[in-house]
Amino acid sequence: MSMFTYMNKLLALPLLVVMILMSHGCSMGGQLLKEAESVKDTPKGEVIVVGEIELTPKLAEDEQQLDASGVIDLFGYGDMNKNRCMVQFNEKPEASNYKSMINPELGKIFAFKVPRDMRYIVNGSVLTEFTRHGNTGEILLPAWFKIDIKPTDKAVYIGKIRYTRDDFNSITKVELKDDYKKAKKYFTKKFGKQYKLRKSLIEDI
Amino acid sequence: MLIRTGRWIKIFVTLFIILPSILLSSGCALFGTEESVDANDKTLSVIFGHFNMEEAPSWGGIDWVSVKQYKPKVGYYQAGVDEGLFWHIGVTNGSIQVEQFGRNTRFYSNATYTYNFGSKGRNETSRIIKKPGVYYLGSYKYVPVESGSFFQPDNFDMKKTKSPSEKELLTLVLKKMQEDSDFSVYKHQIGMIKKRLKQL
Repeated sequence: MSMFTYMNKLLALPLLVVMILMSHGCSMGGQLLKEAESVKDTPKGEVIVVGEIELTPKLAEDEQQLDASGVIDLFGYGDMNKNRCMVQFNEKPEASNYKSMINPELGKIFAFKVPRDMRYIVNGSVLTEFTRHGNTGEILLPAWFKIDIKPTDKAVYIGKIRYTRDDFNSITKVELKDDYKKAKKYFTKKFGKQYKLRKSLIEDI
Repeated sequence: MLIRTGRWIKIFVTLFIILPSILLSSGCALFGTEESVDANDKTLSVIFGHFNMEEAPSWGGIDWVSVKQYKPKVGYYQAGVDEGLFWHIGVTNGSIQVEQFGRNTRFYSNATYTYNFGSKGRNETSRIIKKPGVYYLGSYKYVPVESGSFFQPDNFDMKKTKSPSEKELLTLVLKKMQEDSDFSVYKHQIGMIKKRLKQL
């Protein structure tokens, strides 16, 4: 065995280990709940949550650095966060580690399938910097809300949450807007007239 | 024999030329990018402050302080550091704050330390610079905060302190600038520092 072949084999093992660790690292990005494509295909144990999250001022092009040098983004973690936020749902009013997240696009109406028993929104953030050391920059969105979900609900509208930030990405104001008409129009166009979107605005816990 | 010689040349090249080159280039990257500051640019400001890291796990103080500019566009300044004092003489107008600071390796330790100060919102070092001047970002002391749980990492606070004072630190910055030929060409900054010292 030549020195170079030996070195190649020697390098292959750590490379493999790094790849495995990286794939684990990427999955730490969170268990994402899926966007709703149809009401009919939504399982009984889930409800479609419709709403909107707005960040003002909007993110500028250079404010998110999601292309970490030295990291192969196998699972598209950067794209998952581009102009998007991460919002966590839970059965209890307490944060859990990177589970049951939705990643709606900022300033756009979203519709995600959420387990029916997850009535609490417990965490929110916008990733601004992703490096090989992990998530090193975030805008923390105060999120501590409750949603009223009835057993008969197929879809609920939770409102438009507007976060105002200062120059340093601290949230200075949180407002809830009722933009049901716009959401209903979106919902009808996407899912059809036959389904009801019940207004159930979020409440502070 | 020729083949053997060729193999030895490859090994020699790998061990003594390629590997040292890679290591050297990594070493150079540790020093960060050199930022050149135009000595004639009168729109620039001086920023400075102090971190007392006596109670930090990273013995031997800090080696670098990264100041982030948020507005008008995102950018970073690598401040000069000397025994807790940090300063930069080429900051443009905008919103800035210390984002991270840390320690490089030492001869007695391979560990590097990075402390996050403001990557998740505003901190006390934040300043909105609207016109060129001398801006004191404050003096702070590292205070460890125990998580109370074996499974949770410990945290820290940077507690604002009165000592060393703005005047003491600025006097030090001025001394460094006047004594170092690389810095003494920055007459505009030196003038602003002297003016500020008269006010203190």
